[in-house]
Amino acid sequence: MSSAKAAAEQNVAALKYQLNIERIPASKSIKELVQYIQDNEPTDPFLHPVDKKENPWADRGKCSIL
Amino acid sequence: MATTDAAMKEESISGLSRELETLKAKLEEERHKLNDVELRLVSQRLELLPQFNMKPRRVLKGHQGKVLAMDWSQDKRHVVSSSQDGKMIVWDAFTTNKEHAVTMPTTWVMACSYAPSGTMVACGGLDNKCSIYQLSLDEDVASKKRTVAMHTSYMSCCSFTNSDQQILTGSGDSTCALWDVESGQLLQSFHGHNADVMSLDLSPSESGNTFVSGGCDKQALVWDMRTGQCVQSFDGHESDINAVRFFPSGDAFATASDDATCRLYDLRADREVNIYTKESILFGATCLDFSLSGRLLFVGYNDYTVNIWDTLKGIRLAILYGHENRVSCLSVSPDGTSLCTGSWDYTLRVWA
Repeated sequence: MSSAKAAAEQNVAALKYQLNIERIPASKSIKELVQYIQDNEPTDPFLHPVDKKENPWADRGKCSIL
Repeated sequence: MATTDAAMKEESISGLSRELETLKAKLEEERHKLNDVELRLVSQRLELLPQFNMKPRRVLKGHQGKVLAMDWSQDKRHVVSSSQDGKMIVWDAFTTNKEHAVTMPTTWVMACSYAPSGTMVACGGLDNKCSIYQLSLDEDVASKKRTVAMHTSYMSCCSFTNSDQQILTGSGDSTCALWDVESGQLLQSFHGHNADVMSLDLSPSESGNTFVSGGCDKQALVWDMRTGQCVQSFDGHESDINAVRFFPSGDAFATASDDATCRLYDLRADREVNIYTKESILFGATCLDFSLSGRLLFVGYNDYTVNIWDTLKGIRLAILYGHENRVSCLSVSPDGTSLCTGSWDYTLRVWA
């Protein structure tokens, strides 16, 4: 019973803290989120696959020069 | 006398839960004030991503039970995985060789993690413990076992912090905890979840002092590692949260839930900014990770598939078929070139 009360008190304290945190408008944070992605897309290997020779997972050519 | 005490306690608890509800409503109000734009609307003007072609490149076979967890080494080549039959295996994913295999004295090894140095791994599960193994090619790895953490219920997840010296654990006892690896000492415990913790992830941002956890109370909580304070909380999911993962910038994180949706939460706006869902997706989402840029969100489901989402537009781009049972864990390699998935079909697969 007392542990339930302690947990409830803790949750109340946490929410009081969270109520006062600093927030920024979604328009600003979302703009920066999109910007982060756009800045990093050119070097994202899933979007711009690296050269086969440098990709350790790519199939090796089936023929080789003898 | 005892009855009056009980009655008083009852009353104070109901008072506290009323206060809790009032605070939650106020919090929603504060969040709503700054909700001046939708991510999907902003993303509409962006170009569609080109078709991309991921193939299965490797299959890692060797577990004799459901694969429950996996983690990449920073060397972008080795993978540790753990399974329901009690085995922990360290793989060379390039060659598919097993470099180490350890049988734990427990079943359901639900968590495993590679140390940043690549010289140790941690794992645990139904034994309620986190065990550390030194990876040595000369000696039997099992002989170098050490127990670091103890919970009062199963350990569901673990992750080294940015050093080999500390490890974070999450547990069915509804807490997370930070431990000193060397001494096994408890450094900080994190109380706030009202049910089992299922997943945790450390912030990739440079200050690196926060982490996020998700659990069966449908909540995702953000924590300050130094103080143990829960600094942000997000509810919205309609069922258990199975996985949480930070967006690469550290300013957002995503969740995967049994309610068949994934969600994206923006930490600075303090709110949910996207949801990844389709009418045809009925099964729970179990695991997720971002590509290096954050544009792609890979999600594993209980319907045996991996879906790839456009993080911004919220649309599904592709489905990866191959696993023959639930996909239980997945992670993008540290260099962003490949995706490793683990499944209840006893295998792991590498896609690139």
